[in-house]
Amino acid sequence: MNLDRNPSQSSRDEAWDDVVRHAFAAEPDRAAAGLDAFTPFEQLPAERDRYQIVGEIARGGVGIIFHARDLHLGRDVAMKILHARHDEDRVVSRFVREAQIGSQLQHPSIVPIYEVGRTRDARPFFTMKLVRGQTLARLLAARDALTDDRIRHLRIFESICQAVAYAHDRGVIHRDLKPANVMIGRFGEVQVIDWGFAKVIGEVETDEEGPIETGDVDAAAVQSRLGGALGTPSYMAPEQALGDRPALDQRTDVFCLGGILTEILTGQPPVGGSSAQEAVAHASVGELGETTTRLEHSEADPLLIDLALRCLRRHKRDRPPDARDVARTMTGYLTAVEERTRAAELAAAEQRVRADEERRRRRLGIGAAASLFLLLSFLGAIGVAVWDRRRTATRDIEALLADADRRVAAAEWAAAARAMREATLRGQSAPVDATMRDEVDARLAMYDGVLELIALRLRLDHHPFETNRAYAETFRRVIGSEDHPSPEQIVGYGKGRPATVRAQIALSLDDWAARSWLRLPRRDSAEAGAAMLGASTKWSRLVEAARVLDPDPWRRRLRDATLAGDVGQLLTLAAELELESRPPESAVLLALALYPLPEPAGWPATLRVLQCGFRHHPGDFWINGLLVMQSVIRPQRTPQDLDRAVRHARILVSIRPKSPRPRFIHAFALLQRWRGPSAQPGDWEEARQSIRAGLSLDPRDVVLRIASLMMEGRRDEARRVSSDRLPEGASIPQRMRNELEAVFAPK
Amino acid sequence: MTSQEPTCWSLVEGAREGRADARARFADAYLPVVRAYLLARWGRGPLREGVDDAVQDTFVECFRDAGALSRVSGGGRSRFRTFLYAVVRNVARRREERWQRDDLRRSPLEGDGEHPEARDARLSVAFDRAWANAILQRAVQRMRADARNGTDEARRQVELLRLRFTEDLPIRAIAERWDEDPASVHRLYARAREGYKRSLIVEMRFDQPELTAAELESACVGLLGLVGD
Repeated sequence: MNLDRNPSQSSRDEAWDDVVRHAFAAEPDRAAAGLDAFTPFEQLPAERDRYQIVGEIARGGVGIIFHARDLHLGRDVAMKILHARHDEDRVVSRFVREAQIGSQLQHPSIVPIYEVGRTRDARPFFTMKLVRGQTLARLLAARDALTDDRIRHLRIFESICQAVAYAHDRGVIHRDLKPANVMIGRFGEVQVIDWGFAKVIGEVETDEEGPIETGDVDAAAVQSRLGGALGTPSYMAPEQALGDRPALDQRTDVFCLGGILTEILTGQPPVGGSSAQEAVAHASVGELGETTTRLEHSEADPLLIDLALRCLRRHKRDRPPDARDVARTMTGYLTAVEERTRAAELAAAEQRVRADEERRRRRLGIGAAASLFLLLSFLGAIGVAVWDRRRTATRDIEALLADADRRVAAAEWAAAARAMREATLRGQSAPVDATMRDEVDARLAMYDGVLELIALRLRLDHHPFETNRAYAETFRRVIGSEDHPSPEQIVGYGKGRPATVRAQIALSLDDWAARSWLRLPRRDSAEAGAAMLGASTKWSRLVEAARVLDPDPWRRRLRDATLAGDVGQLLTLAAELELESRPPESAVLLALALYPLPEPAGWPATLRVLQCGFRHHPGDFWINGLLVMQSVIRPQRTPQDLDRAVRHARILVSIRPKSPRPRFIHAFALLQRWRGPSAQPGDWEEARQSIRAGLSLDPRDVVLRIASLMMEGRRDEARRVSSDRLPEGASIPQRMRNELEAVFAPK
Repeated sequence: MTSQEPTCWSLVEGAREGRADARARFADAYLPVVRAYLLARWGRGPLREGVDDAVQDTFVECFRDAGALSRVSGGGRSRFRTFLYAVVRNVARRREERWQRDDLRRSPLEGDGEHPEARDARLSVAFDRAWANAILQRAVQRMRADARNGTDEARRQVELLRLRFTEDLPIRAIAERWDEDPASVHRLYARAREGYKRSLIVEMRFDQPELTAAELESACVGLLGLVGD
């Protein structure tokens, strides 16, 4: 466009028409332009009325996958929408084809397709099950040693084989199988995803099958440049790397399965290269480099090594015919492993029984042959019974420990605690041998502490002045230190424990530090508020310890920002929509880090973080609790703030109906509103009933007693109670006493 | 332009002095551009997960005491866009080199197989496009924000532009929907266009304060050349 022209008024208007058109027409497609971080989700394209977009999950060559809410059915779904730039018929029909193929595959390990439709700007989309979890690629990369959790990974591999076998039975091949395309859900479920390259065997090849030119922002462009080869070079079969699409069949997927198995056993995919082109070149001639050597030195079972090598053979005819064959081999192997384990247990049990008999015989000093015969018969009968009970109990405990391991890895803490409790009880009551008891004890030592910390974090509805002591005592108990544990001791305790456990310890440290900030006064400026956090040595040491224990990049940024007193970074984190995909602890931590920042900088960011957290974790106690507290204590609070506080206080009570403290918070919020211009009839009465209900749950709760006495107008009595020491030895700070009097006294 | 109006350079100064509001505003203005460039560079490849970290690295490089911004002198100020492009490109290259050193085994990097010069040219175009889009969108947001706090007429102007270009309705259909005379909707459209123009010029001046009024208007229209329309 010529910038120096001097157009007439009319042509200038036309030029401006174009500018305005572009600006407004492009607006809904800001995500595609890389501006999604600033786009409120509701502005993104979605089918009118039915789906609400809540966040972006991933971006591919052809489409974008969003996390969406199905308002009709009240469930979260994954929604794949075709890029706006793709409006050619062949791309659209291929996109729809992906949905059609996916919808015809109904298997527990294949993501189900729910619906196909068009967005309000006429782009095709389909919705599918939203799988929350992590990819196998991440799971494998997180291993400390290649043999970690090997049996678990092999079971996952078996599930992948079963899913692909099902697809093969229906004449469908995936063509891009790799660890990154396998999701492991929170409950251990395995899902093969991304069927975008899938093909029905025997269908005539059309242009639709060809590579799609995906423009600047897409890695698939690489694939189109590489001779029409579809897939990922590191896992490609030779025929795939050669771009010989008619030659692709089930055995092409079998090669990829061999690649996944190879990565499980060796930590590396089968095909390497210093560039994509080199990798494709290696793949095209079946050049596996050092993969064979790596497999042979992997200390894996020879059967697995043989299977991987057979799958990776250069010529299709030398590979297993389909995924069903691979699945059968895997199932046979895993069954054999279980049988071997069981046989070893039986042999060990028999050996122990024999040793027991021998010891007893020696002790008894048996002489007479008749007596010996009778005694041996008797001991034999007992031995069989004991052996049988031991075998059953050992198997049960092993299953419980394995279940606990799985739950810990999936961060299902309540279920993990249940499994551990049960394993402990069985270990104490059943006739298991010392090795098994040691195993239970070792697992308890590994997990028990963190389970206690998590339990504390979840139930800690204490006032901030009680938090410090509760955490110090729990950490002392968990670590076994005699006095207040230092951050260094805590870091030492976390060493050698699984990553999920270390992350939980770190979250507890964050929580400890962050809740303590609530005791700090607000500052006059954002910088002073943030600097205060960083300068508070006591708490910053806890955050530093958390930083050492937990490598999560997002939380590391948050911790760094807090330690550096970096207001800009804190506000940036609050503005980032990726908070949507984070656990509730992250929202709480960020909200608490923003707490000391004064208005106007801090409040909108805090509210945004908490509301975002609430949208995704509506049943989280602390998110609701902070929404109440932050709304109530806000200096320039509005009637809307107080309404919000009451609303979330009611939710708090419903989340923990048997806990007295939410009743106090509920009454507190109601009376704050009752004292202001937005008072509702019934506020006072509802507050009174809440306090009563709280006292009926715990008549010794001092704060509730003070509130109750104040509401009854018995101020002197309330003051006497408030000056008493709490049963735990702490005392109520003067500031809180004043606040209680001010809020709970009748008008 | 009044002396109080912030420009990219006043934000640069503020950011270098460590002012949080300047840093936040700077990030607001340029984060989408930097992010879009990195997405264009890394697409769906393995480095995509590191886009946000790279964005942060870019800003850290810009803001730190002896960082890239401190090397920008008054003489180079008309080339702010070029400067930012150089910073983000260097950050991206450093990350790619680290990635290559660490591991060569996973999916290929975006751009493998493409001639380096062609790739640089493509990414440069992507950066300019993102930059132009960001200005156009900032102007839309400015107009929306002004309308929210403004008159009924201002709100109607924004709604009219949305219906006309986002929903793609002709003026006649909008007039029918509003039960108004098409001629008056045409007049409203002309005023709305002027309103957007004013917003865009403010945003353009923010990035290029050295331009005269006429140059600014030309540069605004020239944005379409950068976005590829």
